[in-house]
Amino acid sequence: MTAFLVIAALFVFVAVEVIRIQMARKSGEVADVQPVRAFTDIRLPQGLFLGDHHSWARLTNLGELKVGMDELLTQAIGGIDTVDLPRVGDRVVAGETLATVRRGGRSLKIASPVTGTVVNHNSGLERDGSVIEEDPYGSGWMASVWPEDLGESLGSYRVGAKSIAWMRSETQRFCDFMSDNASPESVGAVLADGAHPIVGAAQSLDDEAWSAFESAFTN
Amino acid sequence: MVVAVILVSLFFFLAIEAIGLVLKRRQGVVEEAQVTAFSDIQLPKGLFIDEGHGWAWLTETGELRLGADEFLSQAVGTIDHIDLPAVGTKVAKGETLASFHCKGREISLNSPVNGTIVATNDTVMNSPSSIENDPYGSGWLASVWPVEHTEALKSLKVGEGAVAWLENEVQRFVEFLACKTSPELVGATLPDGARPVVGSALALDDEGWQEFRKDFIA
Repeated sequence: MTAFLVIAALFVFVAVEVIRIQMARKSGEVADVQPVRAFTDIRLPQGLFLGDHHSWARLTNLGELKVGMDELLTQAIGGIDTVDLPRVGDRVVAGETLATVRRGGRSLKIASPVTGTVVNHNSGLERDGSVIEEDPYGSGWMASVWPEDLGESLGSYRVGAKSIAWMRSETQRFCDFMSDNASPESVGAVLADGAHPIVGAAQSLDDEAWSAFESAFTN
Repeated sequence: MVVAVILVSLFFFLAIEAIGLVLKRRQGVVEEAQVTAFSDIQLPKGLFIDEGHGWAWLTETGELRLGADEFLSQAVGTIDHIDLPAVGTKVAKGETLASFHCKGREISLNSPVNGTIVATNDTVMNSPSSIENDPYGSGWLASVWPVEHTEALKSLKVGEGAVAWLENEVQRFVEFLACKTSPELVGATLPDGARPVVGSALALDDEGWQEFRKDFIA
């Protein structure tokens, strides 16, 4: 009999709790919890060329370079809303602005990995840049560039294992940068375990630190 | 009357010509073998090449697809049989990747990179002529996972530089043939003095063939 009462009481408590949560959800008191996501493991394909500006290039067999931004930048700013792309026919210069990405009122200039003429661009990104976060090295490409001197351009890139090692050390550099520049109260939210930054971490920086981030990682 | 006679005789001549052609065909008389000159360089600008006339294409996943360039395939003209290493074999830059057997002669293509064979092209093993027809496409030989990518690619030529180098190789081959070819063979190798004939390396005598292998492919 006692056991029966205990079980019945337990059931009542659980039922009350469930109903309370349901009602709270309906009235919007409990927001759906946004999961805190850490940076994903590096998933850079080994067939890409990577320079110093966190922009990548893929060489087509015709000799054109498809270019885009890498996952470190995308994750640092927590995704992309819209992108300002270069026009077809524009000349872009290695290390100078290729595109400007916008996220939550802030913008970041992405440097071109190569010097050449823009022959195509991924115009869908101008309205919706979210595809860059989903597929940074595939459908998130930004432009196709006909290079002025392919041999010279490719001479300064990393490929394969070397790129992946560099991305790793850059992720660590970003962690260190955040530790040095984030305000004390946001540090805990930024570096969950000290090794994997939280997606969107750079958004917690003040304006001055954001500029420092831009020049430290995209120039 | 005159018109009728002309028409009849015309018909008569045509009939003789037609019978002659049919007879020729039955006897298996072949039209004179066509002499084809080297075509303009078609190397795609996104391919890397090395000085042994092997090319490499970097795939998205980081594998390198390897093959023989158009200079090599046109110089020999006919490839009867290809020996390729098995999947899993390690290849070294500058050492044999594939052996081509051409009319009783043999030539080795050296690997442009260090790595491990991860795939070979069965199609090209079964029909080696795809190297002549499509050296940079269906005529690929093997895929390799390189020991290291960055420095390996830096040591190769790409883009305009690769095309210019290949054009220069054709010119060097013209000069080589002019020196090595006996007067009676000039028609088979350099009929107009500017472009080599496809297959002219096989027209050389044994000594010339050995020198060709050493000077151009090694």
